[in-house]
Amino acid sequence: MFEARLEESAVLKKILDSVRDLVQEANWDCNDDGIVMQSMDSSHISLVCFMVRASSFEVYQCERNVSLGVKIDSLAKVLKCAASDDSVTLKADENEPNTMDILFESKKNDRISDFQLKLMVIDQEMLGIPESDYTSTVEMSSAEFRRIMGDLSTMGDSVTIEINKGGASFSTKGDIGSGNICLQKSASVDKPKDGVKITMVEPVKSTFSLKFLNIFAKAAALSDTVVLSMSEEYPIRIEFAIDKDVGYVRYYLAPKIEGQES
Amino acid sequence: MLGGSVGRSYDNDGDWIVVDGYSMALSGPCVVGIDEAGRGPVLGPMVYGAAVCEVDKQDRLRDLGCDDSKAMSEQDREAVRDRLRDSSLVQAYTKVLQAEELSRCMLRKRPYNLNAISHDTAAGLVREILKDGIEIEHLYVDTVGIPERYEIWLRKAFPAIKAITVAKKADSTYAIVGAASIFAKTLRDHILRFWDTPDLHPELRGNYGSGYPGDPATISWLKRAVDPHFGFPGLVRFSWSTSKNLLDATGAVQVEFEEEDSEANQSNILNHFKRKTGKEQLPKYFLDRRLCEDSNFL
Repeated sequence: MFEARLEESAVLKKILDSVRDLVQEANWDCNDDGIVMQSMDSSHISLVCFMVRASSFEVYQCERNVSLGVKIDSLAKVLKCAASDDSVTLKADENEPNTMDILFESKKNDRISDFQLKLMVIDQEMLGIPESDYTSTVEMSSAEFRRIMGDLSTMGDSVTIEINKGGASFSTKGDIGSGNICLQKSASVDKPKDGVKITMVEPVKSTFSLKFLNIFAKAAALSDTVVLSMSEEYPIRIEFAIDKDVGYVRYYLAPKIEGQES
Repeated sequence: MLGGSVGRSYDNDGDWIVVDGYSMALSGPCVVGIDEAGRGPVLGPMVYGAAVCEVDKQDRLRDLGCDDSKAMSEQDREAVRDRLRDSSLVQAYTKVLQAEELSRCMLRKRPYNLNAISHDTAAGLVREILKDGIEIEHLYVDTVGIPERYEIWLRKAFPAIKAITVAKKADSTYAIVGAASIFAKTLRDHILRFWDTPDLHPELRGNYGSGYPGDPATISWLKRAVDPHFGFPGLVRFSWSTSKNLLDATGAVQVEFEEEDSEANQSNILNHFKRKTGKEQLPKYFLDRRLCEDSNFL
């Protein structure tokens, strides 16, 4: 039997919210390390994956690796029935994962809800993501990242992100005009999360779709900070670490091809 | 293709200008008249004509019957045109603006309206005449829009021409403009009457009427030609309200054009990350039984 118990359902709710705009259904691969999901969006432009580490569960039991075919929207509906501070337990039969049992318990232990969710057989291709060394990274407040993406989409459809010695700049161009937001390295003593950390081995510049970046930015609910990692002509990686080493949600977005800027 | 004695036709920046009576040798200063035919109709081209005649011979034009082409019957018009050709008095430049081109100009994002098209076409003809080495003593133009403004615009464009007159009904006032109108009108009528392009169903060939919305023959042709999916053939000016209304009345299919694909130059994540192969892709049967591929098997 596979069993995993989380102290608060809120984390799982936020994870679902961060993937549901991109993915309708996906396999949740459960093994000794924890639960991992990886999926491309239907247009194959972006890829999202999350991991919740085994250590972050109150109870985690996985005798055999199992893939749970989850319809994201359905699971989100079930989770709506839980209060944010309810604990949540996921259970499934490792040999025949046809359904998933979802159990909510209130803090006072005076309410127990039990749902069964039908699982699906999903024929899904897994991609190998190289643990590549990115040439430049920016770590910044996730709220600030969300704001920049929102602000730039009032002007254009895509954003050019450039990291160089001067800092990190985000610029866009649209029918009504253009805009540029530039961030410089800064350390905020009182609130470390508000600082901007930039590491740069080589300057890098790529253009990405704002439509996707705005979807990703919603994951700011999961984490105070976000790390953007870039290399030339390579997908950008946008990582939101979930608090207290629980795990992460990572997005990868393929760049736009240079030249035919319309 | 046009019948009669077309002296020369050539391409000027992708546009055809036909010159009638090119072989005649004009000497000395000339008068030039410009008029158009087919501004109003829903079918067929608009034709611009410019007539050139030596100053001291222009009095003879009236005797040959040059007048407002609209006031004449079709036969009379053609007779006058033939007489003009035989007389070797007039050299005529004509430019055809096809219906498709007019529709395209008027319906484009930043519309190029019919008056601007007319002004630019007239100026183009004048430039062509000057290029042929003809000395223009006086230019007479039948107006499009406000005559005073049009005249100032032309003066600015052609400071070398001594006299420019832009007037309403210039085709009946000045014989040289009348001559231009006859060349333009007869050419337009000819083109419409013998119109036959591959986009026309055989049953639709001919019987176009005059091409004006007031002509019952034209309206009945339009009603036969309209298709709920393809609209009209290229002969029809799509930008005219007559054709628009008829499309709506036919219940033509409404098309919503999707926003231009902003992801056209978007690369794919699969260009960067490869599909995993090997053990993880083995069917469930093998995984359950902990079976794996062994290349040394054979």
